[in-house]
Amino acid sequence: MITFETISYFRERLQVLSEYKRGVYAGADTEIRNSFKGVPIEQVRQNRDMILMRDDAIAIKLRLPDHRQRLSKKDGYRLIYLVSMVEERVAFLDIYPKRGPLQQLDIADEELYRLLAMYVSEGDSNQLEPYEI
Amino acid sequence: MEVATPGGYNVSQLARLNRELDGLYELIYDDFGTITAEDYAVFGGQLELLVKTLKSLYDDCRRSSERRAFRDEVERLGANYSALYELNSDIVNFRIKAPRNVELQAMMSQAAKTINR
Repeated sequence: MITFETISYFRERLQVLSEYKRGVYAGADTEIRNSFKGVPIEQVRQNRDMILMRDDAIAIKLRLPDHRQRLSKKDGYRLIYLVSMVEERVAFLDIYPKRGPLQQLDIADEELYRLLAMYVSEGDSNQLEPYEI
Repeated sequence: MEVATPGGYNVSQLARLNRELDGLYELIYDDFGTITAEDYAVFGGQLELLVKTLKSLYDDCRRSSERRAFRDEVERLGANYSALYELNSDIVNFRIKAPRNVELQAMMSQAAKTINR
């Protein structure tokens, strides 16, 4: 069974999206769950959106649709996650929309560094929290 | 690919451009995982120029007050610009710079230890 966990930054970002005015991004949480529900770990690991690879872990920028706004994967959300190649363990690091008032066009390598550093730090201090799919 | 110039395009031309941009995006995205610095040296300059040109065209079209069908295609153009900008950025950041970024690789190594313990 796959274990999903989150860093505090991811949780804050998801909350901002969920509470944004007029419910523009209210579907983000649902899109995440729909993308992982019942999906085998091999599929979670083997994704063509891989942005950083090692033999024992992979960082992925997953393209998610936004059915609520009728947006395809290309135009929906971006979910940044780390997945283990050894354990059935996934860590959500960031989520952002590609369209609308909070849109983000891309993510730089420096930003990925910052997310990974937060993951290591919060892992060391037991601040990671589970995410129920 | 047809080049649309500000002031000299109509709805059908913009629609055709958008279809071609959709195809170009899929073509590059399909190969994202295998693109090397050598590959990018061949097409990167043209891709960057295309992205800049699309931004300029999109900004120009957005100021236009044409009918609904035109505005829909302009919105698609904006999405295509955003998609190609992201793809180009991902190639530069993660296919070319990241493998040479010692600090990022070291942090990824630490993160791998954390997620595997």
